[in-house]
Amino acid sequence: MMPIAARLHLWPWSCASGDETVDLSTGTAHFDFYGSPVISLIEGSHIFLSSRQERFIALGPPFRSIIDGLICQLYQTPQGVISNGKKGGKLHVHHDATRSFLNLEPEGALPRFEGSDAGGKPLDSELATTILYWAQYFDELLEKAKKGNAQSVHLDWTKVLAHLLALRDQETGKPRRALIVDIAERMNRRLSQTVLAARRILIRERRLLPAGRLEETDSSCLRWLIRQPGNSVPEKAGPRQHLLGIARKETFDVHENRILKDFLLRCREEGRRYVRRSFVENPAYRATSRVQMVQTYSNLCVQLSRVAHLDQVELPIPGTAPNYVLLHDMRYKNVWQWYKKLLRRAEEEDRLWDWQARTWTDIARVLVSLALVNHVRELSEGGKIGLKDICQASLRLHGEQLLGCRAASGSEPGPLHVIFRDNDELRAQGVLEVVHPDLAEQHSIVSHLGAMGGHLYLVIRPLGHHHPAEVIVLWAVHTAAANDPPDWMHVGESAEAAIKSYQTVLNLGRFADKPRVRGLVLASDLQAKTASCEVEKKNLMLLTVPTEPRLWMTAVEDITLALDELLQEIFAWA
Amino acid sequence: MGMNTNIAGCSAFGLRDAVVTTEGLSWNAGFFLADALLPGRPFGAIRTGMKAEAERIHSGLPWPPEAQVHTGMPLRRAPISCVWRSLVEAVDEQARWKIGEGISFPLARILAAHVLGLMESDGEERTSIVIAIPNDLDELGQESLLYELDRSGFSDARLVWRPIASALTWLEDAGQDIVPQRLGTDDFILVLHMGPDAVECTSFRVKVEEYQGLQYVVPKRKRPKSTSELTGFDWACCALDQLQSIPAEGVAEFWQAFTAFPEIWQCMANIEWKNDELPRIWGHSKAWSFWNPNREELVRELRTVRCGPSRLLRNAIGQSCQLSGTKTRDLTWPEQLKQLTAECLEQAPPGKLIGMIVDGPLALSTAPLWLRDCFPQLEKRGLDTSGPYDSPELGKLWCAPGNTAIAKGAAIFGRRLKTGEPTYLDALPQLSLLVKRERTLHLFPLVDAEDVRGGQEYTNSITDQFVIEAHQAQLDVILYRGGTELDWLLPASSTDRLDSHVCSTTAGLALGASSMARHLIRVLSSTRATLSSLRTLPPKELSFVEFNQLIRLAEQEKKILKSLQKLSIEHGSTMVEYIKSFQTLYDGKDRDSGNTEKTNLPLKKVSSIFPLPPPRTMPVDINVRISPASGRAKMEVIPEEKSFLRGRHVFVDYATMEDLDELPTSGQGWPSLEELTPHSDESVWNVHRAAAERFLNTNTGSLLYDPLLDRICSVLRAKPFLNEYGVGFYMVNQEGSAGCQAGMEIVQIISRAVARHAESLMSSTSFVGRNVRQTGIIRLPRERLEQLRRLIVRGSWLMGATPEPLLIPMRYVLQDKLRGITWGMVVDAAGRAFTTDDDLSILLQAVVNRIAKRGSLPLPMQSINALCRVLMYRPNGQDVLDEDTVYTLLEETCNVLDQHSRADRFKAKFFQGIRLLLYLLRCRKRHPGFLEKESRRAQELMRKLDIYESGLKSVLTGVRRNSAVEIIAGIKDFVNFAGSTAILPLLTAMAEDNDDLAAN
Repeated sequence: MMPIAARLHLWPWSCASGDETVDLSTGTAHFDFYGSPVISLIEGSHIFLSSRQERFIALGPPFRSIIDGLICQLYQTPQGVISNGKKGGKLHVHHDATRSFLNLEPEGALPRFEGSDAGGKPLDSELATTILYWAQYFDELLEKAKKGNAQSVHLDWTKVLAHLLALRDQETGKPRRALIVDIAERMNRRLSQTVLAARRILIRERRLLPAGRLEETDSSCLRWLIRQPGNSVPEKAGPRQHLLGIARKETFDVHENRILKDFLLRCREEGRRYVRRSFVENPAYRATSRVQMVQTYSNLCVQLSRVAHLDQVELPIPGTAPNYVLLHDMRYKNVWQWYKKLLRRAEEEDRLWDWQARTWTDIARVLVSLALVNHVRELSEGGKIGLKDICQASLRLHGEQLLGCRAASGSEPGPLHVIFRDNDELRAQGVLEVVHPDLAEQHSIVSHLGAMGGHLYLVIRPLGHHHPAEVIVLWAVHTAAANDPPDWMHVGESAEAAIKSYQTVLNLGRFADKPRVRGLVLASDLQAKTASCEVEKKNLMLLTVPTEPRLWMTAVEDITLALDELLQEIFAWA
Repeated sequence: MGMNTNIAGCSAFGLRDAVVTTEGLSWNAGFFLADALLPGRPFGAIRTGMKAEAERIHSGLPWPPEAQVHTGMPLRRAPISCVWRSLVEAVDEQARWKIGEGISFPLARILAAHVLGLMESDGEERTSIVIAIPNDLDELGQESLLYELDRSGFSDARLVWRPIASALTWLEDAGQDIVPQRLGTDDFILVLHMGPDAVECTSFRVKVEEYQGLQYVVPKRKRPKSTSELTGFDWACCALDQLQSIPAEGVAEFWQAFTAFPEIWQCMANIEWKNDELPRIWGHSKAWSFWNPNREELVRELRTVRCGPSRLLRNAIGQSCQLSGTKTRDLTWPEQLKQLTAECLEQAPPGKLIGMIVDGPLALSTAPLWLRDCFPQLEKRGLDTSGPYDSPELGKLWCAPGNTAIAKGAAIFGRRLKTGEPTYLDALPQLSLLVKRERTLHLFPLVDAEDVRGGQEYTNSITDQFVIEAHQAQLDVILYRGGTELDWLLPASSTDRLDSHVCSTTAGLALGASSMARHLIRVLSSTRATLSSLRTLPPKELSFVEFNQLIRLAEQEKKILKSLQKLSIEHGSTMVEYIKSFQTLYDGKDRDSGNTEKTNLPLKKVSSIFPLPPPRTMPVDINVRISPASGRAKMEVIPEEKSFLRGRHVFVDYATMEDLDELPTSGQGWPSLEELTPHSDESVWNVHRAAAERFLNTNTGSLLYDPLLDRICSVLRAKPFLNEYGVGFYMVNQEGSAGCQAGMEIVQIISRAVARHAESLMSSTSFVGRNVRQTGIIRLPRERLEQLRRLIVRGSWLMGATPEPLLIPMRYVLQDKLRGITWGMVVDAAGRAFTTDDDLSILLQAVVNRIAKRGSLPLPMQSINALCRVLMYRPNGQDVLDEDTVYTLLEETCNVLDQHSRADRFKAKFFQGIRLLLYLLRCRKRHPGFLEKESRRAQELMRKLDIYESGLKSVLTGVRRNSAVEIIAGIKDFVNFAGSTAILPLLTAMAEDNDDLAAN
């Protein structure tokens, strides 16, 4: 039993909809899964993923629930709860020093693994593979940011857009890039040399040696000799005529070689996985140079891992710190760098899967931000709506995912100067502010919109007129994680109804600057090859967006047009 | 600088920055206030130029949060002009710009990044650079700037003073017209820089230098005495503060108008606005509007706003950087600028003004109105003020708006350095080391060169002053940024530098002010000493009320210092420096009382670390190398035997530099002179003017005479007045001078009256018996004698101003030529009134004769007090004592003290004896062997002091006991040449204690 008010909402906007809300007071809930359910909890509670003790990050500012008038807070649910079933399906909630458990039992979530390979290892599902590509996309952005300054985590939005353009233009018809591709490209030539000329050391050990070959002893050996029965040395040497002495031995079993061996094994596995994934994606990819290269590299790893002198090398103890050789020897330094990335990727895979809905919202925010940048570049002149940068901003990236998110809050572009023209005549002006839900509490308008569960807010404030501010709420729903695609019209109606009911609540609210609200829904679609506008209403647009990063540029263009239309609607009063 | 490198001059103070190369290429930044955007982490890159301008971080916009600016929050956006100014103001400190969370960046690094950005944006290939720096940037600032430039890749960067650069540009063109033969030694150029970071007016003499047969006219720089007191950014910000469209607490709105919008700067420089850029989007705290200011309003505000620091600017950047900026003045900016020019002209050399340059981004292309008001003065000094002003011409005014002239001058400097041509002459920063010689600390000047050529190195060596002890790897030296002018502050034993300095420094000042300053020297240590003695008391014996009173007194002393400092501004810079120096001394000591204020002693301790310790005590020489505008002096420590260093060089490491908490103790062998501080308030005197005049007009026979004499006496010997701070002031000082003009007049009246009365009493009709020439004895009728006695006792309170007619009978009495007047009273009076060597000899001889005559009887207290006054107040007091007499007096004083000690009478009289004992040590000035440390007499004295101490401890209690113990210990220190003036006020308090307190 839950001692506090807790509810699950099937869509992020469903807070006010009784039909789309499931009461969690019993501690267990059966519900239909559409990709991005959210949980609303009474303020002051904390919710954790039981399997990793990860504390959830709130979505947007707190709000007063329409249902019971309590101050509540929204949280996005992790995919691990939904699809892992027994493994990680539990959440626990802390409130006032009491802890209670939640068990969610959804219907219609895609699994992480599908079937198994010849060795019995489970194979990644298409969705799981896609999510790895999302992580790869952010890694590439981070690498780009670090060009020129290894400390930098900032990348100009124009460069992010350029990267997406390059991704579209260059990568069509090729299998996707992955970490193993980078490793294969850079390590293919060097690895053989490193393994074949692996570092070895000479160690001294005490062992029984034939008496005639004894060259060196020490005090321990002498003590051993004294303890042996017999009066003379030959007598003490016994029937086999062996004495304890010091022998020198060459060994490869050192820390750097243990890492090297583990690296080879991991590269082999990762290479096989990549080739398999590429083949599943498109059998024709097997013939591409990229897959061929990874295949060759994987084979090389297999061969090198079987080199005789690595047989005696044991596997490293997890978490062991690097030694001097790994940090400073040029050959091993490279191995260590890539090995670290491989390890981190392996560690992150579980988390990425669990928090994929948050990753999708992160991506949606990036896409909308890019759409604004694209609008400034492409549509600022000539069209009815012109956007101009007041200041410049850059995307700030996290080195590691933060509950699925890689883009830092507050690094969205803007504020932008919005100019509305009609027949080349300036009709109205405004300022567009982009508000991340993590910072919404600090925003004078968006702080009142916590119940909307928006993943990004575009606030347009008219300049020089007493027209109310308008807010475009972005909802990024991860419908790709659901078994069957939903009925888009139905989804659109649900969102529109939510907007209407929120607008009514806002109009009744006691605060200044009551805004008018519109919605933009970006739904992920695993099968889609292009973005398409599924629902277009006066105050809402629903676009499906492909999950494949190479197709995101087209999505950005479509979102740009959608935003342009919404802005035109907003300035229709002028 | 390589021979083939292209040299670029750079003037980058944050507004319309310019780069000019020796090849004639020039590049100007736009007319906006340049910012540097600091990274959020310690090792990130600093963004500058257009990149920083376009970024939204701390731009003042209402959204997103990283763009917001509030009062009391640290900023990552640093306006370059403010950074320059803060670096200048930092002086000896490693100034940093704080961005919060414990992260900060050196100001010099921000400036180096700005210069680097400027050099990259000019599109030219990387060249050697010469950077113009403010005229008042100190050596640490120069050094840190050079270090950061080196880190940025400009390893051969050079610095040149900003006004020198302008002068070089002017001389490059106008200098050709100068006829060296006609050039006077005091002819000069005036450079007025109108920049955002500083408005500075500088004058240079010019000098002709020869090089390869050619004659060059070069400017000759003097070190500025203080930092410039006006900043351009404060002018702009003060005007913005006044704008109606900016709310009173609208830091964000102000910040955008200051850093992002160019309109205010364009108004200042009289540049037309680009109307197509207006209106601009303007963010408020929670809303947006348009920035579309009214030009007339802005211009009016600039013209009428009062000169001072901007409140909103301090609110905005206060958490990131400490900035004093402009001093508050009661004038408008144009008036202040006019005054600045006039003052600079007044302080300029007396010769002819051969040219004037007005440069900087805020300068106009023509002479502004406030400068036109100065034209008559400029013309008087020989300047032709008729236009046009757009080209540098001999004897004319040149208006050079922007930074190009400065940047060009910097490039000229670089080129001349490369070719070896004369550049300019500079006065090197004064630097002295504290050395101990013959028990005395001295400041040894490291730099004694008059002028050094710009860019050239000056070297000097100090030999035989330092040693490094055997097996010690560290040599500590004490540095002073200045010459020997603070020598007097050092505790001295063999000279009375303090006394002489006090007199010489305050000479020529108003008597009240100078005397008050001298008073402070003596009184301040009193408070300190009292507090320290209080601290040694056990808590139960500590009277809480008394303690608090004393604490308050200490605070009040400080207040006086501050108010005096304010007053002293009117008396010229010497007085200011004097008071400041003393205040630093005071503040340094005051830390003991729990005050956490930073020590401001101008002395710093620096160490040099040897890689290996010397095997024996080793004399070391210190080699000094320094160049103008190239950072601090490099001081190499060279041991006598270099072999143990194995070829390594050891330098004085400035990184080890730390404030000196206390002056090094060298100790004093005798106390310094004391002084009575006269009251400077005329109202105190004016009430007695009528009485004084009546006294002058009254005859000795009148019935009113005696009451008037008593009243006059009570006026003169009034107990010290406690002013509102609780500090005591006398009516006249030991010389008989009052502290104000009215007082002086009244003292003269009284003096005249006393002289008249003395003459009438000593008139010939009153002689009895034979002539004085025959017998040497003067006799007076009894009633006359009584009147004379009364006049001597009361009139001698005129102290040094006692008139000669009254001194005559005193001499007669002491020489035993006039009998019938109590000898002790006359001795006491003579101790106050006698000042000349002859008179003092008479007094002394009288005391000695009396001792011989009285045999085993103790020295009368009048004699003790008289001798004490002579030694305390008269600079020549000790000169009339020969060594035997001194020992006799010492012996007699000890007898008196013994007598009191045996009777356990430790009252005021005992301490008067102790005081004489102490002041007898002043005879060491004349007889250095007096009470040598190991001598029998010294040991005997020490033994006696021990006895007194144990007696005091057993009889006295509380604060008096502690003070007494401290006094005895202090006297022992003086005997051992380790004395401190701290005990003097304590001793005075105990010796002049009243009986009530004594009974305590």
